[in-house]
Amino acid sequence: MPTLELRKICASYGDNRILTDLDLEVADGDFVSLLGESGCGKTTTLRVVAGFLRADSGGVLLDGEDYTRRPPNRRGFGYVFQSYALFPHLNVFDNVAFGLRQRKVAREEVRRRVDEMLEVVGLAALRDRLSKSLSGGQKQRVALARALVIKPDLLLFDEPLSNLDAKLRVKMRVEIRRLQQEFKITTLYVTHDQEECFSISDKVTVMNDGVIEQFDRPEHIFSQPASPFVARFVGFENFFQLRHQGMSDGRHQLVAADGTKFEAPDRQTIPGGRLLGAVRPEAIALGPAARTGQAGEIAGSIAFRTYLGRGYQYIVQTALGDLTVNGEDQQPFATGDTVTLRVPPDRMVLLGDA
Amino acid sequence: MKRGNPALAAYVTLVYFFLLGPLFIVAAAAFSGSNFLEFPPSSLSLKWFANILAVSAFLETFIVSLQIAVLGTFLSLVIGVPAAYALSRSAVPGRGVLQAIFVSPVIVPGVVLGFSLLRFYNVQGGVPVFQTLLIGHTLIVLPYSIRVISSSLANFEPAIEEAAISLGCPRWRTFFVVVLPNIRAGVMAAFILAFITSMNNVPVSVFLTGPGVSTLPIQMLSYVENFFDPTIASLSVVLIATTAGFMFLIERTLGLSYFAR
Ligand SMILES: Nc1ncnc2c1ncn2[C@@H]1O[C@H](COP(=O)(O)OP(=O)(O)OP(=O)(O)O)[C@@H](O)[C@H]1O
Ligand SMILES: [Mg+2]
Repeated sequence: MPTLELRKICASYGDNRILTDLDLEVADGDFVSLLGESGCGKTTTLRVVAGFLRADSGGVLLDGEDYTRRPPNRRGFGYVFQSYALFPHLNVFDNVAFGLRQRKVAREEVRRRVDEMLEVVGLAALRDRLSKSLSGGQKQRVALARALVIKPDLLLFDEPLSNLDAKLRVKMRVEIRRLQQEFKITTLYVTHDQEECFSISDKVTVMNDGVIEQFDRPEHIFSQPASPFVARFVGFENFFQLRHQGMSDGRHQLVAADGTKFEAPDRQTIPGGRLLGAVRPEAIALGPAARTGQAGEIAGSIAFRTYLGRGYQYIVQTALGDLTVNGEDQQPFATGDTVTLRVPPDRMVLLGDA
Repeated sequence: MKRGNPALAAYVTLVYFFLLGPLFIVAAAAFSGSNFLEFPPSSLSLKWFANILAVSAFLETFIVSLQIAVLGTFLSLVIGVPAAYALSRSAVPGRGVLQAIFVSPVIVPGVVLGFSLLRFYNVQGGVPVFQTLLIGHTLIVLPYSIRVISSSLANFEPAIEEAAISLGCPRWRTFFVVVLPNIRAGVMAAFILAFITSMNNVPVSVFLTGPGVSTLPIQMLSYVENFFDPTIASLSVVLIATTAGFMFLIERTLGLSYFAR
C-alpha cells in the first residue's frame, strides 16, 4: 500500500493564495485527518491531491512517483463528497459499478464485485433502487461503496458525514474506520468536527489559514498542543502570559505579570520567545475564597454562570483577566461570589507565543 | 374551488375572458358556412377546413416550416448545449459578455435581424433562400436553447462530474455519460420551446422568404391580405388542436412536471 506525500504545495484561486508551502505525509495504510476551521483550505488540499486543482508549485507524490501533473481520472483515488454526488440517473448497482465499467472490467466480474461490496456496506437489499430515492445515510454508503470497489490507492473524504444527524454520524464513522482498516487503504479525511476526527484518525493535521499548525497523534494534539491556535482549537480556553524563573522540585517555576506564581511539569521543553501557559476550563479547581499561598492560586469573583447539562461553566473575573472554569453540579456558586481558583501543575501546557 | 374571494374570482374570470375569448371567436368562425369571417356564424359547415388542402401553398409552406423548425432547433441545440456547458462550468474571463452575446438575438428586433441576414447572406453572399432561413431561425432560437439548458445545468452539481472523473472517466466522456442524461429534461424543454418559437416566427421570416420558398406563418399572412374567407380560422383551429394534442401526448408520456423540474 502506498504513501502519499505533499511537498511544498502552494495553491490559489485566481490571485487568492489559499495554501502556502504545505508539507504532508500520509504513511502507508494510515488514516490521517485534516482538521481546521471553515475556509482554512482543507477542501483545497484535497482537490490538489485528487488533481481537480492544479497547484501553483510543489509536488504530489504517491510512493515516490510524481502525480503532480497526472490527470484526475488516471490517479485511481477514491473521493467521497460531502454532498454524496451520486449519479442521479443510475440505480444503486450502476452507481457502484461505474468505476469498474470505466476500467473495462468484464461483466461477470463487475457483478460479482459490486454485489460483494453492496453486501459489505449493507445495501444488498437496495441494489435496484434509484439513488435519488435513498436516505442520507444510505446515499453515503453508496458513495463509500462506489469509491471502495475500485480498490483505490488512496481514499479521500471531504466531510462525508456533515449532512447526517448526530446518531448516524457516530455510526457511520465507526463503519468508515472499520472498512478502511479492513481494506488497509491509505486515507486522507477532511472534517471540522474534532470528536469525529480524533475518534477515527491515526494522525491529525490541524490546519490554520492554509498552513499546518501541528501534525501528530490525536492524543498528543489533545494534551500537548503545539501552538496557541491548536490549543484554542482543542478546547484550551485560559491563557496566561508567563515568565520562566528556573526549575525547582523538578518543576518549571513561572510567574505571571501580576506576580501570581505557577508551576508546570518538567517534561515540557520551554519554547523560546514569549511564553504562554494554557489551561482547560475543566482542569481548574474552583473553591470558596481561601488562600494558602501555594503556586497556581488565583483569587476571583464569579461574573457569569451558564448551565452545561453536566455541571456549570463560570466566567471568573481575576487579576489575570476573565477565566473560564467548569464546576460541579453540587453547591453552585452564584454571580458575585468570591472564589479561589487552583491550576494544578500537571494541567498547565506551555506554549511559545509568536 | 374553496370559498374564495369574489373580487379575485371576478379578476380571474376577466383574465380568462381576454385570453380565451378571441380563440373562441376564431374557433367559432372556422365552422361558418359563409364566405367571409363572421361571428356568430350564421350557418355551419366544414368546407373551409377542406379548403386548407385545396390551397396547395399551405401544405408546401407547412413542410418548409417543419423542416426549418426541426433543423434550426437541432442546430441550436448542437451549438447551445456545449455553449451553455462551457458558460456554466468554466470561470472564463468575460463570461458576462459572452452570455450577453448569446442572448443578443432576443434583444435585437427580429425585423432588424431579418433584414441584416437578407442583406449579408442572401443578397451579398449568394446563400440560397432556404439556407438563409435556416441560419436566421437557428439564430432566433439559440438564446432559448442556451437559457433553458443553462438553468438545468445550474441545478446539476459539479461534484457529480468530479465523482465520475475520480472513478476513471475522462472529462469529455463525463459530459456524455453523466451530464447529458441528467439534463435530458432541459434539452427536451429547450427543443419544444425552440421548435414552437421557430414555427411561429414572422419578423425574421418575412424578410428571408423568397420566390418559391415560404413558411406557413408568412403564407397565412399573405393569404389574409388577399382573401377574407374563414380558411385562416380553420387552419388556426387545426394548428391549435395539433399543439394541444402534442402537449397531451407529452403530458401522458413524460408528464408536464417533467419540464418544470
Ligand atoms: N472555487 C473557488 N473560487 C474561489 N475561491 C475559492 C473557491 N473555493 C474555495 N475558495 C476559497 O478558498 C478558501 C479555502 O476554501 P476551502 O474550500 O479549501 O475551505 P475548507 O477548509 O474546505 O472550508 P469548509 O470547512 O467550509 O469546507 C476559502 O477562503 C474559500 O473562500
Ligand atoms: Mg470544505
